Amino acid sequence: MTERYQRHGLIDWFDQEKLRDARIVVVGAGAVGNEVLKNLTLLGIGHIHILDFDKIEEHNLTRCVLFREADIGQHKADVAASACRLIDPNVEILASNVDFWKGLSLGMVDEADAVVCCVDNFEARIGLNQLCSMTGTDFYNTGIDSRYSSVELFPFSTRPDCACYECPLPASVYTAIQRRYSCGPLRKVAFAEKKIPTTTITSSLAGAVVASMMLNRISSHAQALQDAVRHFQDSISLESTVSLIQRKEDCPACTSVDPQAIRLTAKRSCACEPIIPLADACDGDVVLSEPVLIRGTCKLCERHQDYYESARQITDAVTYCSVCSAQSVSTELVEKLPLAEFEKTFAGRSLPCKFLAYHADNRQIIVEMED
Amino acid sequence: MSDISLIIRTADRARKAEITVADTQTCGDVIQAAVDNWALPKETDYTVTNVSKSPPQTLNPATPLGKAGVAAGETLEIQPVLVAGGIPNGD
Repeated sequence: MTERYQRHGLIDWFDQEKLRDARIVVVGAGAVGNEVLKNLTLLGIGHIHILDFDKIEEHNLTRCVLFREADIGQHKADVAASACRLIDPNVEILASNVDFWKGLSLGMVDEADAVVCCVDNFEARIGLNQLCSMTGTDFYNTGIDSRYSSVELFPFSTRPDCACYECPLPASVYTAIQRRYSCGPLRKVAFAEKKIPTTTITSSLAGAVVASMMLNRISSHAQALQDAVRHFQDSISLESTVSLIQRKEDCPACTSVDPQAIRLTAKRSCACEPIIPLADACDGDVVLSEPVLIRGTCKLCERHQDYYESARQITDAVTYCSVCSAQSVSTELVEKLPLAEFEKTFAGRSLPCKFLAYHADNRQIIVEMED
Repeated sequence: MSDISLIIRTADRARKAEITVADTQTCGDVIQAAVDNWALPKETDYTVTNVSKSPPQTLNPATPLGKAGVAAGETLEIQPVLVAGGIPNGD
């Protein structure tokens, strides 16, 4: 071990080699992401993959230790990666300037020791929770406001039956998500996101707690957390609680995941080929990872347009008919359909979703789409 | 069904009250009562943590208090679900 990590070596339980071999995915390189990345790099985590599609704005500079004024307008992931390489050139860092749903395959999540979620919306957290629980990868979720920091650990690698991110969520969260949509899963064209006040104080608290939890687990510290927990800290009173997160027995997220599922890949563009390898044994519906918009049809002039695109990428502007100058277009969306209908719907077309799932011979089969 | 007396408080400890509720009421009902009575920000989502247990337990909002193991005299803390931290939503 090099002189760089000499002080770490003085800690009897500190395992620098395990840290060097660790692979961590960090989704979001904003306020908390910066703190997490800085800490993981300083600790000597060997392999870090950063995903963030966003670019740096001036207001980020009060909370992001890795960004400078000259970086405004650059991709956050690129700049954060460059800054981390300057901190420790031994750390292998990959930056992806894309939405994680596109840039992070199940295989990548599977290979990672942990995924850290540093985003600012529920949908991304729910999506990452799903990918981590499917692959049995530890999931760290972070959240902050101007006063509190929250870090949740879901240790799926060692406790596949632990509570997941969705278990403690109140119904109001799903109502809040739905407010962003006007027509099923189609996003509103104009939706003003509420801006949440934050400072570097809460983001650095969250970043330190994530790094500590992760260090302890990777180093197999005797007191490393082994269950789904939330660390909640008040930065004003300095009170903190570490609570066990109770599993919700009928949690739709937990119950839809089979840790023993068989995972396969298929070419997205070859829907005519057997995307479903065990089709003969398919039992029940084919479930897509996200809704797909098939077609829009104007109820007034009956003109229609085929889309075959992920509904996540489409706004409710498609419900407006330019010929009739009215919001008169009804949309046909699919998310779950019988095999025969699936084959008929997507024959000869690309499948515009991340993965599909179905059951065959009492086993869950997950087929991830590859470009 | 039986009634239990509990203490509920906000995470900043600025609000605290003793309440008596049926043990068939859900943890979500307690959250809603706190939001309504204390005029907590309605655009924030909340969870509830039983801080009297060792270790404390974050409860499922849909679970009745009795089934969640909440006992008389225990303290439930209403914690906000924190959303900020990084990249904005998808577009």
